[in-house]
Amino acid sequence: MDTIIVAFESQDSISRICSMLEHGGLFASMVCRSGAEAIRAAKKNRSSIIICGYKLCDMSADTLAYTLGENAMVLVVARPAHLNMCEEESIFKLAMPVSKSDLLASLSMLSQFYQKHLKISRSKYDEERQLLINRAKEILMDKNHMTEEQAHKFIQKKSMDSGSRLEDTARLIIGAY
Amino acid sequence: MSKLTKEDIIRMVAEDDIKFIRMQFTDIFGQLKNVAITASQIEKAVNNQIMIDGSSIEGFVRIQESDQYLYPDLDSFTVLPWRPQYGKVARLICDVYNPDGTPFIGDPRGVLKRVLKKAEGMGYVFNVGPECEFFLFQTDEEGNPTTTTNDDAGYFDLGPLDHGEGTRREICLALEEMGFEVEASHHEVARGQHEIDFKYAEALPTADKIMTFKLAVKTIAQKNGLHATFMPKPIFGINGSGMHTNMSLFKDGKNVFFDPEGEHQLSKVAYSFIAGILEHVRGFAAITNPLVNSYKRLVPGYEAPCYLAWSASNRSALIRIPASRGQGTRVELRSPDPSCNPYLSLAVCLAAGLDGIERGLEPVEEVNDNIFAMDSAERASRGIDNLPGNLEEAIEAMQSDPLIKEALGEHVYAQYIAGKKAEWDSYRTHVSNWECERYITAY
Repeated sequence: MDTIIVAFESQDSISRICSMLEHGGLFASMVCRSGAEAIRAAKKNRSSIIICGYKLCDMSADTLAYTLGENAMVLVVARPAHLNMCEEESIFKLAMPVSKSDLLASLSMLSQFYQKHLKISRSKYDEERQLLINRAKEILMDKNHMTEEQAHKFIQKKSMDSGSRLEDTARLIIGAY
Repeated sequence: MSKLTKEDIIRMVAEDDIKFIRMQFTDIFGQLKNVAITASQIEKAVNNQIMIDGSSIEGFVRIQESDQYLYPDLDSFTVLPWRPQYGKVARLICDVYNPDGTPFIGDPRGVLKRVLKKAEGMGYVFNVGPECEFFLFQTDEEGNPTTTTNDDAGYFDLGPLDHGEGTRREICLALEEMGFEVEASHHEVARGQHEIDFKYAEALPTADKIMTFKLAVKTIAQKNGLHATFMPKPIFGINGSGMHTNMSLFKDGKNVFFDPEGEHQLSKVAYSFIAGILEHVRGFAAITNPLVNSYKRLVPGYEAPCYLAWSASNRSALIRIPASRGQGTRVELRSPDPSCNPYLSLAVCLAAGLDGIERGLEPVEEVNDNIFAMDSAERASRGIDNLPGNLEEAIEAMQSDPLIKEALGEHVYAQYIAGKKAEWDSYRTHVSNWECERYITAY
């Protein structure tokens, strides 16, 4: 399960949610009362789920979800009237009063969606990275008469010498031509 | 000559699906103000028809003369690059005008324009390159700023020690999207402190850029759950934040500070400019260092200047001459801090420099020794005066320097002094924690 961050304005709400999580064998990695704290925590951890109210002391759940973008998934737990005020499309909603089973089921579902999304993003990133490196190799083979092995070693060495990633070196080579 | 026309702006608003435009201006104390209009009002805006109630703006006008108009500088049109939640937002920086079409004398941007016009009359173009420092702090559980930083880095350090690196990088990218040329960005000496330098340019767009920079830093910090502050000395015992200001004069495209035959390859004009700054720096300190807190930074031991001296090498001097020559020759004034109103700050610096040139002033001897190691007797014997020790002294110095009043104009001068006196009085009469801690038990 991803990192769980619990963020509510009121300490009561925080305690209630944390208690439900504990009964389900889960634990909040962080509790906070402001959106800024939640943002800092989410940015430190690659995959987070934030359980929060419809508003925090410094921002609305909408603003929180919008600001975080793909850095975290946001699950808003609030009364139905307040849930209607959340317009951000990426927000998941759970109406109060919330049961432990509903909360745990929602978290499980979100976690699976998020892992799938991260996997797709990761494989898309890997694919793009490989395309860049292949293109750079083609250029080196064509313009500088290197073999594929020589081109690969060239990109590798330049990356190591400059402390850059392979794809950054590849971009430089492509950009130069 | 404006690069963008009214028709260009109207077209861009439509084509780029911009929903809101912020008509921005600055009050005399350096606070950015804006009127947000919807895209449907853009034609009205570019035709100078957006009105404000000037009586609500600090230092502007009284209630019976309060209708004022915003005249946008069309070339300042830019889309704000941080992801908009409710539709794209653009901004236009504006001058403030009276209903009769005359420039409002209390508009700080207009103050700078007037001094620049004087420089233009002498054949000069004033170029400026600022180095802005700021702190990134965490917020508490109520969302209020603290002075806590989760940052173990120091000068030029980078991640993983530098936890502000990501935010600083985002700021630089946003600035570049808005047309800035970011020359350098790095972690500064103190924990949580950062610096971003952008390329020198003419003074008016540079002052606009400083205001934009502050907005970008604060907005992006907030988006990262942090609070950015340009407060000069937020924490006792560590370095404060300055805004070292690099200045040069150009004539016919050539840097007039450079003379390959001159001592340090500086021209007589450069030396007179330096002399003018030294002559008036106490008088304009209340402008370049406007807060009570500004003078907590200007103390020995933290790389901030305190003494009126110049040097081609000595970093403890008020005015430093960086090594670059040719077109890059410049004078670096190290006292200003980023809480200042950049329009007024650049206006008084230029006015002081031009005064030095007009009067053919020569600066005192260069000081290459460590001034902080000298005692007061030695400084006195060498004619090294010091900056004001607090805001009250700075206000008194400003009142004793007629050049500053002339540069600012009667209205801004009077309103500024009144505001600063009220600020000092409020501080002077406030009972601080320091006093309680020190006295409550002992007495």
